[in-house]
Amino acid sequence: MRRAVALPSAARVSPLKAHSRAEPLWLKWSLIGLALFFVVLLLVLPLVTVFYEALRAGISRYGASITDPDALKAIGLTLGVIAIAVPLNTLFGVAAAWLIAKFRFPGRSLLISLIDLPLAVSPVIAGLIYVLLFGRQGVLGLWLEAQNIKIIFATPGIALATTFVTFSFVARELIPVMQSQGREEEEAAVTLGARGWQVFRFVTLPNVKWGLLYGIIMCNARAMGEFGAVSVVSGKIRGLTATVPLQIEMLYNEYNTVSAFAIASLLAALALVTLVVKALLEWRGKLEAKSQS
Amino acid sequence: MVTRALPLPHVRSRARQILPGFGLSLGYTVFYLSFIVLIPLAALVVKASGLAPLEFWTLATSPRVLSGLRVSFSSALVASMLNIPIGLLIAWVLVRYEFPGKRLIDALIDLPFALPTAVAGITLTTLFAKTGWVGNLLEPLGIRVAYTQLGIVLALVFIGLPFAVRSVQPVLEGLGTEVEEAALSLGASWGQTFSRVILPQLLPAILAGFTLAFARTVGEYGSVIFISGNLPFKTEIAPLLIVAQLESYNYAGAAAIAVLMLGLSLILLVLANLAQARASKVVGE
Amino acid sequence: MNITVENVSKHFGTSKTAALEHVNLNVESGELVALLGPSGSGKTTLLRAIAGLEAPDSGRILFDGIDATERAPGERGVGFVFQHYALFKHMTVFENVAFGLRVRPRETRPSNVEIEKRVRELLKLVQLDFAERRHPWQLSGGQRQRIALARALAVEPNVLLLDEPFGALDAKVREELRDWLRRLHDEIHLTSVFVTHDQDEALEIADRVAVFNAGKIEQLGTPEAVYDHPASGFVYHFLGRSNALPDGLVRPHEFHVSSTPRPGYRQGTLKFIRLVGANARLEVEGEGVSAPIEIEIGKGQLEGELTPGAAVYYQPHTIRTFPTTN
Repeated sequence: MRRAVALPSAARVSPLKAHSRAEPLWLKWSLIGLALFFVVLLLVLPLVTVFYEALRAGISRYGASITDPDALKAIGLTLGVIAIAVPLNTLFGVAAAWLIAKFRFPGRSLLISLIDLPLAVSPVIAGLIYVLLFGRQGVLGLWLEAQNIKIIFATPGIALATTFVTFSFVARELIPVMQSQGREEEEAAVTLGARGWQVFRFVTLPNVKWGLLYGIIMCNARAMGEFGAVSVVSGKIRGLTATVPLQIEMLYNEYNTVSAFAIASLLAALALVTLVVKALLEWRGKLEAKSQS
Repeated sequence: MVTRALPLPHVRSRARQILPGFGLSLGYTVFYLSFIVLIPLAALVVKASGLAPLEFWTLATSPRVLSGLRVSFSSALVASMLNIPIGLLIAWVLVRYEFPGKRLIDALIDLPFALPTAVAGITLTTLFAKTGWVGNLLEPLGIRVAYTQLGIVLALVFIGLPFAVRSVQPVLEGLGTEVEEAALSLGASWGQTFSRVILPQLLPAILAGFTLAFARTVGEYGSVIFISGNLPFKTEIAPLLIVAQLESYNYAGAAAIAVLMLGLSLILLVLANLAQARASKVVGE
Repeated sequence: MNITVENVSKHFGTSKTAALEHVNLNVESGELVALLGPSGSGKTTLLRAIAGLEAPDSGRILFDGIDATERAPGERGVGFVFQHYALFKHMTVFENVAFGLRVRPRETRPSNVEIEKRVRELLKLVQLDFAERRHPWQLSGGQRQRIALARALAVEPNVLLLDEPFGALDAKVREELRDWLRRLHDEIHLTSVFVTHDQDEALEIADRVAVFNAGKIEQLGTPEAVYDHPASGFVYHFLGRSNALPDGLVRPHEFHVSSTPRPGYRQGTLKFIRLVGANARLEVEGEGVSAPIEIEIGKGQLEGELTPGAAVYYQPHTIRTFPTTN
């Protein structure tokens, strides 16, 4: 009987009451205010600054800056580098994620660490390693020169350095997504007679397509803006080996800030597009997860 | 084909993989990893080992190199630590509260991730220079950000912010309010509930965010070199020293500093991962 | 099709105990066999080995006497139904069922018209023809499992393998689906093996039951045989609740009970009595018996007034002993 008496007193603290004892309202709004302060200071103000500085000297000056022949060449080079690095890393990301998510084998955890390794390497070092390998004084330098192949201070070197820096992006996004899918659907497909490519194409890919797209978007964002690694291998020859970020640096260092920010605003706009696509993908992913649970 | 000749027990040496593509994906992954990452990194170590030990030591302990390493590591450490409370605060506000513009802010958190570092660099410099919108507010207070180590820390806080927020946010979302309500119903104050119930559960995620932010910021170059001013012994970061060695064609010197930097950051990352594993064990993850 | 499992063993990774240890089993053509056992006893591993989803370390698996051990899952002619359905989330119910036909090489792939016809037939068979255009998430658990079954049957398998097919469903749906599966089996007579940890399920619908324990088949026989003549203490325990008396094992319903002393009855103290439907459930502290004795008898068979705390007299009418009771 004693327990029966004790029960109502324990039930006295209803969930509703507990809620009212959560943090006071003033604290809630101070926290929101403080968070907004940091967001504005660190994210909103810089973003506004880019566009403000770019348009400060008027729209015609802005137009001239972004249609300057060197700027256009830089844009072309950056697009070319993206067209190499992103597909390469996407292919790798898909292979690595399939391997790590669907199979158990010795050395698997070592492989996971190695895939993350480039993230812990300074971009400058990423550039340096290719200079040491392919540069004139590098391991393969003399041989490459004899074959008349130019990697360092040329597009291949820039593409390689960019590939290194964005190496892990697709794999890292895709591995957890594929892992959370488990193996059951693939096993079902296999028992139904699906062969190699069919299993991936019809069962796995539709399940991970948003994660894959997400990884590609992030890989692309980093590839178009890579600076440190590229600046080491490019030689910064204007109109030839200067990517968009390098072009910005050169203009900025020449105190041509309006042109620098004009071109920077293009990259900032692409960054915003990236954020919008990313938000849409996340929203879509959440929606699907909700409907399928 | 019928193979009945084999006597029992019929022992197979290799485990057959049921799902397709094991050999292909393993082969390609290892090949690509070796070609892009492992072999070039090995070339770095080979080059650095071309230096005699004494040479290496003299270079590594030269005041300028030591100063560069100190600036890089201390700035990354301070910035990543500052990002812990800032990241936790923003994640908390985004998960727990409703307010206008919340989704916009949520999307904006990844800006440092998507914005090219050079753009971030020139923008933060302009904003925090003496004449900039924020810089001219700080100037009367005697606070200088641009061209000081404070500027470097600021740039790294910017770069590390998404890591700090995004590591904590999903864990906080998954936490729910039940445990918290249980603690409150047992008579704990809100402060006690936060520090004794919520914080311990977030600790592994906080450490993970710290580790990621540190790994990313310690070698950061593009966003830093504009705002740092690159004064030797004051605001010169280690990656810049590597570039300087390269520009004077001292490849072995550049490799030596790079190996030193990589070694130091890998040691710190291993330590951070160990701490994180311990914290995860405590919350039973 | 007849399935023969010959001396199959399987270890997982670094685990010391074997998932399967020299298992032999023969499933006759058209038979419905249940693999029954607690979790981790190896029953699912064996089912997956038959399907080719797990490669045994040693031993062979034969279909109609032909070694299929090295055959890929898709070439074995098996239909596999997963515990959590494993439906393709992004496909409609129709596309799920059609999948096995669509992925066939062009030479053997049926035409679209034939595929449509076949899928519609199967959906009718599982009584879900109305759900053709829906996605799996729009269906209930029982419906999903029926789609999984239709999908497995679409490839016209020689063998149907079901891994805890009703495990994720609630009790009522479970029972319905269980009866339905038995009727379906009686209709199409497809050699079937299903895994379950629910003894009622196994005893009710299987032609024969294989009871698993720690990677081995402890007993194989008809439901009556394993229930009435359990081969070991483990099987006896596993197939129902039991009491360990000093002289052997007794099921709760295998007692006479009286409130007054009677010849041949043993004395105990009634701890409590509860009426559950038409039965009375008693817990008795017996002399010389360590654990409380559970007794279940029909209300009508209660002799005299039983009050908790008072003495009670009981007599087991069936006692079983096993060489090693565990």
